[in-house]
Amino acid sequence: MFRLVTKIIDIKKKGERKEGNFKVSTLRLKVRIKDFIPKSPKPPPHIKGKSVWVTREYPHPFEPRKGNEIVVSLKELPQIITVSSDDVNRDGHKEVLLKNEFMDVTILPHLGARIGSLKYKGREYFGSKIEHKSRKWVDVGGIFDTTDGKIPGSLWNAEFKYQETKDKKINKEHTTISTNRCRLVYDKKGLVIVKHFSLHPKYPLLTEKTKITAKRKKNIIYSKYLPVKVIEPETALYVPTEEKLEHRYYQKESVLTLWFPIEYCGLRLGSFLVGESNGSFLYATHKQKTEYLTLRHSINVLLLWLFSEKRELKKGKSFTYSCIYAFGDEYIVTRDLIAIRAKSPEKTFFIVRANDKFKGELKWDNRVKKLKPIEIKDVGTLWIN
Amino acid sequence: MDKLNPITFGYEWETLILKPDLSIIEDRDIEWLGRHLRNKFPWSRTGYDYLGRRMDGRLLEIRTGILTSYEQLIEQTHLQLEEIKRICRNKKWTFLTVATHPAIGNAVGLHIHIGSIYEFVTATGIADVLIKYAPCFAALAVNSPIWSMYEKEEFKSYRVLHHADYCTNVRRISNPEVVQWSWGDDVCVKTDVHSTIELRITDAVSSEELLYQFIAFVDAFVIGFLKTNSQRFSKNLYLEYIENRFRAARYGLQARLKWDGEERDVTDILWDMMDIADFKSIGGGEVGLIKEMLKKRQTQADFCMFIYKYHNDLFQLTRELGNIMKRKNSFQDYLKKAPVLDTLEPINIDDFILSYINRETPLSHIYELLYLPYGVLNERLGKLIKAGKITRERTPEYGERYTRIKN
Repeated sequence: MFRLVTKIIDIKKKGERKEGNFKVSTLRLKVRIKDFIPKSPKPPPHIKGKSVWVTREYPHPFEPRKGNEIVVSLKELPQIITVSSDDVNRDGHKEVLLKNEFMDVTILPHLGARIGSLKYKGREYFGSKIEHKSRKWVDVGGIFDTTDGKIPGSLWNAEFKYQETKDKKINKEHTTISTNRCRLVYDKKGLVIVKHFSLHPKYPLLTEKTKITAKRKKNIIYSKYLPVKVIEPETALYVPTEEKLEHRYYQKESVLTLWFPIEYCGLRLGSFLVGESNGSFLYATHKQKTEYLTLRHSINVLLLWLFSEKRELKKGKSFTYSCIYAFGDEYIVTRDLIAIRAKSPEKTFFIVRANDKFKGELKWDNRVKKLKPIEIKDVGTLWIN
Repeated sequence: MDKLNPITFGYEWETLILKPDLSIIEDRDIEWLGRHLRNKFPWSRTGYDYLGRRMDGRLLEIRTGILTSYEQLIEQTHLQLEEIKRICRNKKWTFLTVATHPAIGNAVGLHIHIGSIYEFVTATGIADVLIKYAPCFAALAVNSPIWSMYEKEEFKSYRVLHHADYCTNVRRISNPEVVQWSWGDDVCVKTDVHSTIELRITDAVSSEELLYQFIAFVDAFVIGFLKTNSQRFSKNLYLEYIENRFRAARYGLQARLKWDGEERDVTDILWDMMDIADFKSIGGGEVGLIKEMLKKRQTQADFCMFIYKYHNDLFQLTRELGNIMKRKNSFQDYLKKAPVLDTLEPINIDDFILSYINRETPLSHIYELLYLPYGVLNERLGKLIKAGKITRERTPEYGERYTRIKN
């Protein structure tokens, strides 16, 4: 959620109380909106320059003066932008909400068509994260792509255009689009990028497809940045590699992983899993589109960064990358298989990513579940019940 | 008393210069500002330093020339500050003197130099015992209680807790016969690049008046200490220093420290240190503000948390701190009305270590919490294993890892 940088143009005292030895004044401050934190994406143009009243408490003698600047959050000014309860960023931009029984997905077309929020049974796995990068404030939350191997890269605030599909429902009052699939297009800086998101109507399974076409010769280092929010210490990352099943439990950041992230090569299933006591997040892409995955420990975050191979795109040539995000309550991980199980009152859903030897028979709780394959282009096979 | 000959001192005061949106101004602007000050004041050594481990931006590091008196300290500092404030007003920048940008969580320190001393080995011997007092100065200077959105209010100096992003570390001790260069210790020998011993542990101060008093106190103490010093380095001194460093970071002037095998209030120790301080040798030094802090056990960190109570958003807080620092005597005004705080019983170090042990926590992560010597740390971890609180595994690939046993 962004903040407003404002200048005080009038002050009215509304009351006073005592707190210890300090007098605390309630002040009504008339402020003029001058700037935004972060500066990108640009908030609606009518906001800048607008004067509004804010009420705050200040201890004496630390009251502000006319001409001082103060930072105001949108929480303090809900009337400035009409937002719906689904507008997680409250930034006045059109968002796309995908929803099924298990998942709530928010796509932000104005922030690189990133997945701004990804909730499974109400548990937020990503969400906004404002950081100071390259001497400016940027949102490095959610899941976003880079094409230059840098964070935040050049696409973090790229403005994608939403293209309508047949099954959408537009909530005009709140400028939010509810659907279970969407197509977003970006056409700037010598690149045309088309992204498709599709949420399975029943399963906790989101599919993302990205097609990048170069309008002139471009070097692409396609990568996906996934800062997973950690809510319990025993959260672990599992990565089946050609050598073994790798795993790392979340730790608070340390100098070693700060300088040298942990790198995983040879992802056997083109897949990894983040597991916790009551939840699991499975990511899968085509094995051959995965060059390596890096992990950095940060405070309350597992910083995952997945790289595809570097490639030179000639004029008119394209590159496609697809992946899935699946969620469950429980999981099984081996070197050859990642299985998750999601329970709803009516049904239990299984989603499995496995190697070629898997024939659809999953042992779970001493029972065998028969699963059927589904083929997702550029991702490969998933097994579901 | 010819260890320091002649008596000289100085400081490097890291500060933040912000754009209106509270991000850090461009590198070229910081560089320009430093050079502008040096052109205007030929004695100035002001320049830049890096923002932190991510190196994403620069700090303005205000430096005086070589000082020989308290009067010079005030004159050189005040002239530079007035010029910086004037430029910031003109350019609509915010001059922020705190020990971390609350919304970023980076280290901003005050490094105090005392000289002149040229013998590296002699200076090393002095630094090795001065570490005993470093946590006391750290407790007095705490000013980073909010370290980005993730860490706040449990420690009064997250900068010290996090070893200032590895720019102020627990001092490494060497055998004097084979001592090597090292950088970034809490008390650091700088005879190879200057002629000084440097105290690096302290958080950047917010108040101009406190800056004068603090620097005078540190330098006068070191001078007085060297005149009367009978302290010798010992393992006990070293271990107490490490634990006291942690307590200072957590509690500021509310800390109780381990002192020659006993528990003492840090404020009592600082009163004693004030008696040792030889202010005459630097031409005086008014320390009324520090005395007031000691009486109330109040610090700049407490002031910052007081403001945070009313501006409970990191960007709002940063902006308000910028406004407050434009006022004269803000900290003094706060101190006049602030209550007397109690000393606090320290958290058990083993409990703190335990709180960071998760599953398969590498020994390196645990070591980085406090920088306890490996032998001592292993002994403590061994006791926790015996008590059934943790388990240890050793693997060729990952070395030593620990897992906490759930109750």
